[in-house]
Amino acid sequence: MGSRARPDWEPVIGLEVHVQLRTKSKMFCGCENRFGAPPNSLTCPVCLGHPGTLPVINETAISYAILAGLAFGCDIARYTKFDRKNYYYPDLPKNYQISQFDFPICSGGAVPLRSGDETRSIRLVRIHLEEDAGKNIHAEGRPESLVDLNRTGTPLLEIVSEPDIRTPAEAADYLRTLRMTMLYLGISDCNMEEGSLRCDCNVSIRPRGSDRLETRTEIKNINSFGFVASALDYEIARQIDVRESGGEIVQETRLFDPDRNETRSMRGKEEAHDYRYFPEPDLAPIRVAESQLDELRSRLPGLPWEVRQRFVEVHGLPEYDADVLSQRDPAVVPFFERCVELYAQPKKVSNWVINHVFQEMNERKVSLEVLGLSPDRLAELLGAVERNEVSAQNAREVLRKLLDADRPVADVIRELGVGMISDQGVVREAVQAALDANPSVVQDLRNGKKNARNFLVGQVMKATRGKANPSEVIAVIEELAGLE
Amino acid sequence: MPIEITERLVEDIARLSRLSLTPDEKGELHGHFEKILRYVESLDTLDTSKVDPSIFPHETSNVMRPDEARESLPVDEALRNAPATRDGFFIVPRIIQDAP
Amino acid sequence: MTSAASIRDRIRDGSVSARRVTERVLAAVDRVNPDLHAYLEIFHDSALASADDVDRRLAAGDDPGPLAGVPFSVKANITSLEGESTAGSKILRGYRAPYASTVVRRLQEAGAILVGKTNLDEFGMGSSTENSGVGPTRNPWDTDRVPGGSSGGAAAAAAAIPGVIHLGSDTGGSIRQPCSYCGVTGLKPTYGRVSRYGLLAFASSLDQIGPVAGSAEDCALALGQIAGRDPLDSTSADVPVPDYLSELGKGVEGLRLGIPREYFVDAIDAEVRERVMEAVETLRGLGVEVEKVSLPHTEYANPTYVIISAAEASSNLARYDGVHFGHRTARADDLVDMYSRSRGEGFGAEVKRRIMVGTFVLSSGYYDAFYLKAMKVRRLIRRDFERAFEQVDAILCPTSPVTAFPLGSRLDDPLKLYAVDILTVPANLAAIPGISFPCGRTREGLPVGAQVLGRPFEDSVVLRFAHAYQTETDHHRERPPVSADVEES
Ligand SMILES: [Mg+2]
Ligand SMILES: [Zn+2]
Repeated sequence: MGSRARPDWEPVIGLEVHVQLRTKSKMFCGCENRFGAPPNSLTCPVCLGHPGTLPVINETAISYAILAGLAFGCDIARYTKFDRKNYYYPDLPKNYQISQFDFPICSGGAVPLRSGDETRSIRLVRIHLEEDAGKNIHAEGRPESLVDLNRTGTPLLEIVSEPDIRTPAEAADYLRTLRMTMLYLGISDCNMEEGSLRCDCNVSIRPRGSDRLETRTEIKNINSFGFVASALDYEIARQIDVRESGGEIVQETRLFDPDRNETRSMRGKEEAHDYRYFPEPDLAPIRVAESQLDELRSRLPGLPWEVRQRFVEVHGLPEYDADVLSQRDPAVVPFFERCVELYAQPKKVSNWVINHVFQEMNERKVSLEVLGLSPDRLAELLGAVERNEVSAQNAREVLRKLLDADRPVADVIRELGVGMISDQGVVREAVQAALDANPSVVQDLRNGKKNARNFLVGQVMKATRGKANPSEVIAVIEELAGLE
Repeated sequence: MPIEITERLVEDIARLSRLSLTPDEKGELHGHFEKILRYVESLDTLDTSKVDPSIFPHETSNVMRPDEARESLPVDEALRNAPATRDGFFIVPRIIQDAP
Repeated sequence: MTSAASIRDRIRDGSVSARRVTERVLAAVDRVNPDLHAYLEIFHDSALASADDVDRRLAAGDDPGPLAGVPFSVKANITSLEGESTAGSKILRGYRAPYASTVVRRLQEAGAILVGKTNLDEFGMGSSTENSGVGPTRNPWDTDRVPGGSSGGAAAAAAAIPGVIHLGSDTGGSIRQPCSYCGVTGLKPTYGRVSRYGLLAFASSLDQIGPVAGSAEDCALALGQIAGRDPLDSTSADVPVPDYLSELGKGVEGLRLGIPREYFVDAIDAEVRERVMEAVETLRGLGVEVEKVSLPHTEYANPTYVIISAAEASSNLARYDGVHFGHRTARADDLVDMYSRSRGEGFGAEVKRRIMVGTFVLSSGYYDAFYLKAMKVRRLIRRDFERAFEQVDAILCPTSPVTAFPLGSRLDDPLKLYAVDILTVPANLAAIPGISFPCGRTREGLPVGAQVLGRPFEDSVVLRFAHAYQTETDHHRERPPVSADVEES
């Protein structure tokens, strides 16, 4: 089964995304919130669920949850509380998860997506806070499982969308926007490989034109951005096949198997769950004051979709550039805007950032921050190119040098010996030498062959190691070849 | 309207509670369970339609801590009371059910 | 008579060493404990080491702390670095907590000396200490009778050996009712007055740690050290802690005391009623104004308590599953089987009953009819008290409808046991302070307890009532047949 066009069926998709918050400490205890430590080394009596211990709310986790809610235009609860979700599992040492049931911290809101010129909003049901569970590892070849509780108690946002998503591509887009928003807010690193963003998909299909909600399946275990669309593609095709062959969709949980690129039923291994939610008596409720909301609102950065719009409307960038610049890394935004402040040609800055700066980041596999390029320096370099102090081509080499050690651009140009030749005599000499060495090409040039001119320019640039100004070289060639 | 306490219900609740019961225990528990439920059903006679539940004993709110990391327990201390451990992990019988 | 306050003063002024007191206490405990089984563990070595430390500080002229050398015990559902913290349950046999409860830490920092851990009904669930997983405690007034519960070990120990402070816990009367049966004084503080960090939770919205001792004065001494906000317990209240000892001096003249008609129903034993009414007259003689009050929802308190406490317990006790600590079954087919067998083997019958009831009242389809309903009735019960406290400063009633009953006499029917809690559970539901103090004995010689309830955070007011009564009477000085002295004779 593949994703061939299925005109008769419309997929209805809702996502439930869990995002780990990047606080210093865990949700309810002081253990460090960090990935990759030796097993059970980031635990204490509280997160081990020892008898007699009590949780205490991390205030930063509350602020982060509210920031996420403000970003998506949710209603922020003025009164919110925690509840216990009761189920037995070895990675949950208390055998209840502290979560939120009937008074989530955020409700409503939407995630704006853009495809082409159209903006589509995926509505949110709610965002609530809870604690993460630990990790169970299935020991190969042994009748036992290993339990690591380092992750237990990590603050987690659960972001639940309405079933507004219609295509696998849109689901992927939704996830990317969610992730980028978290990065802009600085509240999560949303690294799917490390599990700091996890996604469950609810999928059903219905005859196109119908507005009924049909029986859905839930797909779990999607642990990479790349898998979201393929898991959905498979599941939609599977459901269509079932329906078209007269079958019924069974409400069930299915696991995505990335090796086989298919979803598999977990049937038979599940018992009916009864989580027995009730208010967590160990935690006082939270009342969110208007003043706190104002304070958090003032901390909101420009969000990806706002930045994109600003890049188009204020800086006059093409949609493509605005997309690429706003979706790469939140640090790109102030970088770009500072650059434009100093070198007021946004499109040129955008070209440089997208073509060269991003390439350096890719090659070195680092973020903009780690790359260590200051926007002031990039503006200085672009200025030098503009003033013909260095050729655009040599400027790339200057950029690389600047990444090794930050210095004034002029110094690097001098050191590399790539400054433009300002002496007319040197250029004239080099042109004359090229004409003398290629009489037949000069003949072609006189006969109006464009390639001949380019060839000669190339020869001159080679001889001057790119330091001659190309337009000057052309003028001198034409003059000395007697074409004027 | 009193709820009928069937053996099936007692078994379901025991399973949800993760309690294995011997046949004797099951019988005794069934009787006691029924008595206790009949007793608490006496609340039915009280009209509480206009009463808000008392969720928290006091009216306090916003009891929180600053986001500061503290030292965790040494691993051997974290595992000290565990019935079975290996290589720094807790050990349980192989998990076949997936997390709910 | 020996009191913790007098021990403190005599150690401070150098008339006795902390070591000598500790040795005498340990010897007294060793003497009575075989008859009573009040202590589950006695910390001879660490107690003497702590005592020596106090003596060294005193000799060096350092401040050894406000309770320097005062002996204390904690109920075994309160964690300490010393010994085990089993809550009297087989499921926690051998469990050594990796941290100390806030109350133990505070008392030890004040220089008090932990001498041992006391017996209880498993996880605090019971009213007789017969539900202990390690055998019952006996009443020092009559060893064929129960000491009450669940803090039966603390109350029996306090009755047998005056001068030691005991920390118990009270979820529905577990401090007050055994104090009544053993003829000692015990305070359930306002909910939130004392940190619960380190108290093995039974019902989180009802549990409160409090002192059990020979007098209201000793209770005040202890409360002053353990009360106050704890950053580790979000439900601990940020309310200033008064100097409870000096509050006692204010007396009770002019205070209004309410007698709730709903607490003097037929179920109350006639002699209990007589002794309690005599106590009312004694207080009237001290200038207390006595009035009748009404708490109309009293009859609903116990069913409400049964639902709420069981619901919270079913969740609080879920962590005992044989994975991270505690008992694990020797044979299990799979994970679910391991959970069920470990819990089935580790928990006693009463604990299982309450877990079952709690799971049921929270389960889908029954939540509204039981749990939500109970939370609504809880508000009505709170409101009853709020209204009564507009009229009076405190309320007086019996602590328990009956006196200490024979071992085994109420085990066949859980409702018979729940019935002895009917006068104590309302204070837990309403989150208010309550104290029980001895007010005489029956013709059989069994102690009777009177209970005073106060407004939230007016723990000092209920202490004042008990203290005023104890300055006027000697019931709290009466000694049971099984007893031992700390002071040299
Ligand atoms: Mg969740
Ligand atoms: Zn921790």
